[in-house]
Amino acid sequence: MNGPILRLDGVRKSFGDLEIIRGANLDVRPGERHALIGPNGAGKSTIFNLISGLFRPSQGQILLREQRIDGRKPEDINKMGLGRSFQITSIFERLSVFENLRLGLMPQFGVRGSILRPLDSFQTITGETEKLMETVRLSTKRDVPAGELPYSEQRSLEIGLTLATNPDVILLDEPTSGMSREEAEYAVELIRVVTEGKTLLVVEHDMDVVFKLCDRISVLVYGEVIATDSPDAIRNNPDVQQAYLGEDEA
Amino acid sequence: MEFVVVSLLNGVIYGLLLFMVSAGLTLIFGMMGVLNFAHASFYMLGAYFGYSISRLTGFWPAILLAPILLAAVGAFVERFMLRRVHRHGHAHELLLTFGLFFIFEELIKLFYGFYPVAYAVPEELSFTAFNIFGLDYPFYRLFIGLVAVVMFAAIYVLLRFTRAGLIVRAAVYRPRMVEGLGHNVPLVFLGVFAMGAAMAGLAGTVAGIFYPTSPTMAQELGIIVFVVVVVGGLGSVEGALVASLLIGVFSSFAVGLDWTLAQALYPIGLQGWAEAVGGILTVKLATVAGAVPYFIMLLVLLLRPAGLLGERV
Amino acid sequence: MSGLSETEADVSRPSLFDRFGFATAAILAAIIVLIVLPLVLNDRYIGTLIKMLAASLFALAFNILWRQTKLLSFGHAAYFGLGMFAVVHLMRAIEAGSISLPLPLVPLAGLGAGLAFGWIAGFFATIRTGTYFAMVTLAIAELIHQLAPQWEGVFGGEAGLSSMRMPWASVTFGSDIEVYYLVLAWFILAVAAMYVFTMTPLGRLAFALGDNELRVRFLGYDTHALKTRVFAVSGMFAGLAGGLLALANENVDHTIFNAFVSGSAVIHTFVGGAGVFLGPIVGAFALTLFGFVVSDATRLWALYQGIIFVLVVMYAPQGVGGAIIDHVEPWRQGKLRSLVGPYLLGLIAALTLASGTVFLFEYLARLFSDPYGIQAASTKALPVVELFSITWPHASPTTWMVPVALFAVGLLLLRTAIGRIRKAWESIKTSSLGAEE
Repeated sequence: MNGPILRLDGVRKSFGDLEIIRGANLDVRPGERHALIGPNGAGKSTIFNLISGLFRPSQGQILLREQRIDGRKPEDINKMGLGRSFQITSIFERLSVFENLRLGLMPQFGVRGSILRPLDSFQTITGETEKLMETVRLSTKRDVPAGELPYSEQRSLEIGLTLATNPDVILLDEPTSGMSREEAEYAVELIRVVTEGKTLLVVEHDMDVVFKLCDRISVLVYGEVIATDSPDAIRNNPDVQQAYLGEDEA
Repeated sequence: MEFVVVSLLNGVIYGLLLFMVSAGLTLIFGMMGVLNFAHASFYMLGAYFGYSISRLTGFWPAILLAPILLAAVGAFVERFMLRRVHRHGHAHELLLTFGLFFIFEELIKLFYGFYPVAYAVPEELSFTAFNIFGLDYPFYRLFIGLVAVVMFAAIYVLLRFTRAGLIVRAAVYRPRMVEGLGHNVPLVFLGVFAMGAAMAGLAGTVAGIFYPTSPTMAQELGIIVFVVVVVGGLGSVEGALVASLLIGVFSSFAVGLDWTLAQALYPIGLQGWAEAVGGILTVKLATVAGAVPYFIMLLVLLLRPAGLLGERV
Repeated sequence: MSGLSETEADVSRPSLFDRFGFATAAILAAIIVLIVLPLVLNDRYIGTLIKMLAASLFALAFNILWRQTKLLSFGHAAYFGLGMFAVVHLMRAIEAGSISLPLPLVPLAGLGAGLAFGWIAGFFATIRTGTYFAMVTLAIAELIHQLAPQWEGVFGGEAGLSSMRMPWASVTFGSDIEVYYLVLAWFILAVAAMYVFTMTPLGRLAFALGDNELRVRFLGYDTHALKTRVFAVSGMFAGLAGGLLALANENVDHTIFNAFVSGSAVIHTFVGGAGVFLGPIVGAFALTLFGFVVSDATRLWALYQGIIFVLVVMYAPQGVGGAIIDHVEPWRQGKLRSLVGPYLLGLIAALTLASGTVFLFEYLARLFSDPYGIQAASTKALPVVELFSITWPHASPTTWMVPVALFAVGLLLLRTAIGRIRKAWESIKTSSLGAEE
């Protein structure tokens, strides 16, 4: 496709009297890895919640492949090929790693809420799930309840769950938050591999990760995108420096 | 005409009574997220304590002591039972209050038997207030309303104009913030719970005289009070007042009205057909008056869970 | 001391083989007992056994919603009751000759009614979550409870409806034993079905919904439709349970819709252990048995049951079933022995405290009873109280010393016991951690 695969057009969002997003314009090109950065409280997670359908914009439009998705339900947006992860790990704690991923996967095989046969009897789904476990390198933890995994493995599962629905536009919300240097490097490699050929929009605080991974960066400050450019251009952009440095001085 | 006036009067007073009980319940829910199934039990205990104390010392000490006793009971329940169960989640808190509801009912049966007790209007208050359309309107009924109004005024003043009241209102709205500011939020919770119990107890002490005081009174009132707090908006005391009055007046009127759905179809000419069909279309409002509040509660929960004046859910 | 019970014990490891070696044996043993029991028991106990089976199914149905999707239904009596009425109507039709259906298939009416109404109610109730959901279920049940007495055609007014079991295939079903085996067969089938349900796609999704509903939505599922289906399944089994009871009792009236019936499912489930699949059965059996045994001895049995429930909620939130599961690990490691001593002490402490409580309440009950009051008024003095075939003079210190002593000793023993139990568990935990290294 020619134009942006994901586009925000003059999006505003208020909660009561407080306007969090004040006219955000964003475009993500098909196949690119695009980072969304900005100081704390800029509204990055809110943007994700708006795109994925948790919130409805107060004004403006959000378009996926030039189709409006603002105001649609999260499950419908997901069916249109958009998947997102959560900053605060959002997995199914009681279920095993295998079961977590399987639940994400099975709708692609037409299995949702049926009661006619045990889920274990679907061999194809089992096979695909095992492949996905392999991809996020959690095969050794197949039967471990997700709630018992160490933090970084939970984050891997989080990414795996996001991928399970086979989205072609992937939103990752601070995927390396809380990780050590090694764990973050590992995660970045994983993300690079699994987003090959797909479009990625990632919120990150870790600048190393951003510069290593992304083709373009958008900077969100006080609910507005003040710049969108290549990593080097952003690094040298005076407004961006002002936004970050200004925050440091305060 | 007489029906309207008398029903209105009775309805308002019944509504004020419902308010005395529901105010505490809604405040407790708003603040602690706990729906106290045992709240109506506090009402029942108030009636029975009032009965026993007044047999020993007369009515006036009873109206003072019974609520104080209830505050103690409420404080005990909050401090030693609810707080313990809090860490297991809301479901367990609900279950605990549910269990307490059972226990209180059985304890009352143990001490007072299965049948209503003769908790009667005290001598000094058993006169006629006025004569309306040939009916002698008992003063005691007005007294119930008076107590409710005085109590509401006192609570209002306390909440709006005292420092403690300010802290309570803030804690209902944002408990963690208030804790962060250094206030002893657990103590606030304890205080509100105890106060709620005392208010329900006072209502019981005063109402138990007029309405039957029996071990099932908690059950009978309990569910209506739930309806009131839902319709008014969980957490909103003003909402509880409005809803109490609405439901009180409605109940009062509905019991005497023989309206049917068929009659409602008269304007579009289908009354005759409806009456021929029979069944649910010819059931009188009076007979299903008991079910209408639940229907309203259901509608509110499904369509507008915030109720009349509650916070957006 | 919470261990595995509330989390993944039988959730993430659905293969029956390894973990369930112990459980399978226990279940088989239980089934054999249930089959053999009525042959050795007096006839009048069979009615109670049937009640226990129905109550167990009812609690299990309730727990589908709680254990899996974390939804508390406080009005489940609606589906149980509607199931009862459906079956009684069907039995009447069979009796009148307008329908011909073998008696063993009659409970299907209960199943159908529960499914249909569960679906409708669930559609509305699952629009909300948490406390609001609970209140919707309560409102629905109360609405039915209020309207039922008015609708005589369907609910038979104050007297209710009655019917008779019709014979089938040379079995008259006139005796309790025959009915019992029919109910038992349905019971075993239903429990197995509910277990299989937990393994179906909807069943697994139900667990996910209970853990994190929002995430399920973001995976592309219509969670309202899913929750409605789960509610329908739960209603279906509740209706079946009611149907079985109606089959046995041959009558029903509108009081079946009251809040205490709904409450009984909740109480049985949590006392038995809500985090364990079979927990509700344990609770239903234990409490029905308790009621049966104790209600003959004292009129305070409902009070004691309430106290037990509150104690479980406060001090053993995992329930009896959960507590049993917690002991499977120590048993496997052969460490159970170290708990026996402390538990014995705890048991003695509990019995002592219970005796003190029972003495106190029974004494008070007699003191405040009407006959006593009349006696006191006529003799103008406080007479003695008869308890456990001993007379206790009223104001005498020995009388009051008994409960005081029992409480004092009991509390002391309890403190010691708790300390020792705690120590024993700590050493079990540390030694098993050591073993893992």
